[in-house]
Amino acid sequence: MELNLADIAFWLLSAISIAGAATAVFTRDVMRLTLGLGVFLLSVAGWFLYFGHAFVAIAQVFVYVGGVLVLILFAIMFLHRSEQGLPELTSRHALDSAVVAVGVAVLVITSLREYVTGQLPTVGGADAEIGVSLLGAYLPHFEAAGVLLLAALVAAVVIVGGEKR
Amino acid sequence: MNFIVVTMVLFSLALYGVLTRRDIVGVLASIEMMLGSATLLFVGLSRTTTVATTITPDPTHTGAIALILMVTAAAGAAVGLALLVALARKTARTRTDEITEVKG
Amino acid sequence: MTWFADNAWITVALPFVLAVAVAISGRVLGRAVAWLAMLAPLSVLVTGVSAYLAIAGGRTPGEGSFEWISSAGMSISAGWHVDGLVALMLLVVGLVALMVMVFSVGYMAEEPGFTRYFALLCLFTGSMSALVIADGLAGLFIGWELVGACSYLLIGFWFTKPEAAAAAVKAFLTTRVGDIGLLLGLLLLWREVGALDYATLLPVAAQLAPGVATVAALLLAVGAMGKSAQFPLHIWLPDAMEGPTPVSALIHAATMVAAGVFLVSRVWPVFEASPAAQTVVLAVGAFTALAAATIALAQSDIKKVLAYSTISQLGFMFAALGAGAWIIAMFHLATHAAFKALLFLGSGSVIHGTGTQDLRKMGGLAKAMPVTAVTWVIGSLALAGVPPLAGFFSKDEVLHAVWSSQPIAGAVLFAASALTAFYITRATMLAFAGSYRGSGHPHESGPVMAVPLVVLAAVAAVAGFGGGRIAVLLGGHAEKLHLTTAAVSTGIAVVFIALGALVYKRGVFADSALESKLGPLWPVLGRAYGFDALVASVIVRPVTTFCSWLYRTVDRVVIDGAAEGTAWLANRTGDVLRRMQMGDVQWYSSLVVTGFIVLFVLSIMWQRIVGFVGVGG
Repeated sequence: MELNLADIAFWLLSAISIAGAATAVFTRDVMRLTLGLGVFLLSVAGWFLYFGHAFVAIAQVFVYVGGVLVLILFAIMFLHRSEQGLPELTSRHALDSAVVAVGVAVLVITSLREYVTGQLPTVGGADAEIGVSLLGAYLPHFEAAGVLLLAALVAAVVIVGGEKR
Repeated sequence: MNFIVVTMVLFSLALYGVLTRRDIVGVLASIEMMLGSATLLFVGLSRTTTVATTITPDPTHTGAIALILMVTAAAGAAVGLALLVALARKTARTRTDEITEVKG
Repeated sequence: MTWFADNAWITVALPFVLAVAVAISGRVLGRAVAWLAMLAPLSVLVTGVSAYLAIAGGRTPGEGSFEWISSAGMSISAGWHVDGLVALMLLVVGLVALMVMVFSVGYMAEEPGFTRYFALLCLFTGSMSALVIADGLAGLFIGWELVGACSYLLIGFWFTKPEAAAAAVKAFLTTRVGDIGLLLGLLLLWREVGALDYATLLPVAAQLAPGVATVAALLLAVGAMGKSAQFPLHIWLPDAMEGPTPVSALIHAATMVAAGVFLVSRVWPVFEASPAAQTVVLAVGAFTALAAATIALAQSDIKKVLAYSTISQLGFMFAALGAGAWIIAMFHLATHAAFKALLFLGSGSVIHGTGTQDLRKMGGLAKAMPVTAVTWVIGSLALAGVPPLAGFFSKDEVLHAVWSSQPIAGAVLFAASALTAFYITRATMLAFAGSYRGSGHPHESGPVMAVPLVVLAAVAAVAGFGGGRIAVLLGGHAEKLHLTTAAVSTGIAVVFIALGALVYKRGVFADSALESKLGPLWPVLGRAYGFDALVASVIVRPVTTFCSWLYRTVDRVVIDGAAEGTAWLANRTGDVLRRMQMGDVQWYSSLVVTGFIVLFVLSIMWQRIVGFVGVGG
């Protein structure tokens, strides 16, 4: 089987993202959790690139790696004090949760099976289209998302800091 | 094997994390991963050439939609983490099995 | 006046309204509610008179009907219809009910349940009218059940008395046996004819298959026998004497128990189509007439004497029906209603005056209660069949009809009428002749009780002369007096009255003389041939034993077990399910996702099925 660059990128991204996600899910160490999450989020940016959305990929890095990840880091630093032990991972529901999770995957893959054998995405940037869409057809959504973000940030501040001691 | 399988594997891993992790931070991280996987699947489908157009998004708009999803997820994460911090300050509990107020 | 003839529904509507009005206004009006209640029988009486005049004048009274039950492929109408038979019944019911109500004002004066009593009498009057004026068997059946219910309520009027409560239940259940027969007969006719209204049903009755006609007629006859206390369903009527005496006069002597005779007359074409059923009715009637008359000989309770006398007289009517002479049966019904109501009210007056029902504790009341005594004697002679009183004419016709139809039955009836003369003379002598054997001072009843006695005595005296008119009213023709029969029956009556007077000249001691003559038969008669005990041991005891077994096993173990088991199961299930609600958000999330998967799979399968079947979008 001859590999071209796109195939190499595909397998590489698959391996990295699954490794990152698995680390984040299965580790008991909060720092490894953060690290795995970071790897996953960066690989998602890679996938966006792979799909030809360079702008989305950059936004992913800014928003998630630069924003959400840092937020989670702060939260962890704030909450996990040294005296607390590592979280135990043995859940009462390990088995049934696995069944449920695999069930969802099988279900979606089955329902999309005509496309599973489908082919490589066409590669090619269309970043200009994003701007046109956001300020055109999706302007209301764009504005709504902006308002939502503002509301969420205000809410976060109120929830965390509004309480006077 | 192609990207649909990969994204669903990622999604399942994240879902498993949501359902099993005992630390709320882990649950939140898993939720973020679920959203990321779903967005990936969405974007990937729009870029696939052999698809029936009935279910795939319009490729010219997916970038914009992906951005909006991202923003929504970020907002969710911000509120979720804020709640977590407030909860921890109030009750010193950060584990899902400790929060059982709705027990029957 | 003619308005009533054309709007006979008022005889049902007004009494029902009055029943409610009486029940409501009793507290305000006090004893005066009785006069309000009397509007009910008055409306019936006026309607009867009006209808009689209309029919006698050659006019057909108005009738009406509305669709009552309408369903796929079937329609039952309810309505009213007035003809000669109905007019006669309305006259009887109205007159007797009115007299009974007037009498009750005095008889029940001290009664705490005064209002309830009169409300129930109104209800009964309306129900009886409904039975009578119905234009079909469906409506008749409703009235039939309503009078049964009123009978139950009135027998059990003193429901705190265990005997009264038991008698009410017994009457209800025994007549229920007959009612089942009636209902089955209705259903059979419905299946065969497809209609229950007389206008449709009766003309085609002759075309029924002989077997069907016989079965239908016999089933209807069973209903009639239950209501009219014919052997073997007669056992409830003696016990029904636990009710207030005016109620016995109205319901258990004159009207309701006569409903069986009315029913057979009403659906006569069905019986006409079946000679076998007529023979059965004849045999039952003749046997009952004789057997009840013998039992009446040995009763010491004055009301029991009259009760068995009523059973016996109803047997006469059934025998006349069985002989094919329904017009004569109705004639005897009318005269019997008059003189038996008179006798019952007379006994009520006696009971009121002496405070006892026991003939052995009476005696010599003729001096203390002259009005009662005179009217009672008139009623007795009418019952015995002495000319020119009412019973003479009707009984003469009954005897003649039965004799010419079936001599054996005729002979039985002659024997029964001989016994009738004897037992009523015995009761008369024990109550009114000789000297008083009870304690206290018997007193004559007041005018409010005496007036009904006098009115009924007058009717009982002269009603016999109306036989021709009644026959014409019912669509027959006036019978000539059958001289031979009349002579024989009068002779028998006179002889046995004389014999009775002679034997009971000695008063109560004659009972023991008779007892020694009859030997072991006397107590047997006193216990009514032990038929009650037989029924109790053959039917009632096995049933109650079986039912208590059912109660102990099926009800307590199976049904209660199932009910309690259900509760226990729900409890345990809740206990188990409660554990699922452990407050674990992640567990809930798993369930949510599982539900999503299930719905998703179902929707895909549904699409497949729809696609396969080829329906839907």
